[in-house]
Amino acid sequence: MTVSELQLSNSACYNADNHIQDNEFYFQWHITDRCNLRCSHCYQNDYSSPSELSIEGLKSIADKITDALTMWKKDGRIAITGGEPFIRKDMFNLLNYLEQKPEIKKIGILTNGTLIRNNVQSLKSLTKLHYIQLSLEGGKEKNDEIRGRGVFDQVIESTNLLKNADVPVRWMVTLHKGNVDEVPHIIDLALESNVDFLTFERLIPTGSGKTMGNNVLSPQELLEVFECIVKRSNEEYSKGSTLTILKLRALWVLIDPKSAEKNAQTPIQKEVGASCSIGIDSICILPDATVLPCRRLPIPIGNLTEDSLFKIWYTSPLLWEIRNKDNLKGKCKDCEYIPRCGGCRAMAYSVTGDYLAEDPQCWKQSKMTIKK
Amino acid sequence: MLETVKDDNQKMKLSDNHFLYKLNESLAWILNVEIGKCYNLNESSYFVLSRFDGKKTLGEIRQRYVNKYSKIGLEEPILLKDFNELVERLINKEFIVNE
Repeated sequence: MTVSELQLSNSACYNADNHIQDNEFYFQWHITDRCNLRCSHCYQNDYSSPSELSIEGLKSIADKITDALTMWKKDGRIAITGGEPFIRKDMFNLLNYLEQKPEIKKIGILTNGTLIRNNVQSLKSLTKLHYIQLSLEGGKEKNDEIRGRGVFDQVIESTNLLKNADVPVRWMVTLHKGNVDEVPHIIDLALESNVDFLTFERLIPTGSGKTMGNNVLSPQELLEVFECIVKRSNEEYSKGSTLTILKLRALWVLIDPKSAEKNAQTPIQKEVGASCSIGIDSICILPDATVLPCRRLPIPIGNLTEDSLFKIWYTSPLLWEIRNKDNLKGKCKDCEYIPRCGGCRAMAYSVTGDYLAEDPQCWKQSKMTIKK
Repeated sequence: MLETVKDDNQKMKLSDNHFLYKLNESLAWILNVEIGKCYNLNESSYFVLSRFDGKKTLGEIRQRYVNKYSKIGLEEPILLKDFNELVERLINKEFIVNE
């Protein structure tokens, strides 16, 4: 008999029990820290970007990314962002390079939406462009209070230009006390503007946004706005709306655990909740090639100019700590919803200094108290 | 290669481009940090690989292996054969190298 065994694994080496994996690996790639806006809740606090890579440096990182995708037999999904990515005149040089890589299946661009006007035709020519994500915080008054005067009008204009060119548009809203009342209005605006996707992120008080810690929604406030969003999302789906409201983040599963039981037939409009992807199938790259587990969890785990992606992915103690769900603390520990939640590690770190702590915005016990 | 394995005083270690990780009692891997290959390890493979620290001799590791698994009723000749075959594979795949 043989008691010892070596078996080659084709995955990125880790499959959490019950974790629903697709075959994608996501890279959020910040190619510059330079930005023409100074939004009050920004996760950056430095906009000088002195160490950003040259175009040749970026292409070298792209090669490392595709090497990893080939070995892992994963489809690459890359979101190019900044700072403001359109500030880099050579961004399309990089995008065209990525277009030639068969391992890269989908490309997104995350932008503040103010520099779109002269780039629509170039964007239209990209065959792998999955979406352009524009940030919006509310109606004109609220948005411009947070992102700067005139930005709302530019985002609406950019949305119209992109839609007229058949480029899919996603809006991203950062939820906090200052704009939570705007959510119904934002959904109406998205419908009026024929936006394809709408996604909501929670304010993580880090970077410049650290001063906005008091604006983080309480668990009860978050529960209420999530319920409102899910209700509207279901209504729009029933009406056959072309707007898809994405709810693929931690905590959403708590709104309706039953409907979150995903299978291959579940339309994306009905999907609720997703496990934190840190250490599983995503990574964040900064302009100087520093690697973070997530943009909102600002703890460097390596640098791609010095190390292979394999070395960073396989040897980072932080990634291994987070992969092992037995390490989670508080309410997150032993929670039955870990496979479709696990809490936000960035929020835990931002509020408590411990990325393994329970998600401070989880209302799971609070909700039980309310029912009593 | 088997001649090398039979040298009881030989000291070997994990090669520099490999990383060993055990997540829990049922999940362990040896990971190549240069080219990305990743191998699942069963308990006994991990037991052996984790002992190649450049300090213990091959003979010491073999004895620990035999001591551990003979307790669960496996016969020594079978264990010795398994051990030698495993170490041969570890050397061939360049997971372990001479200290």
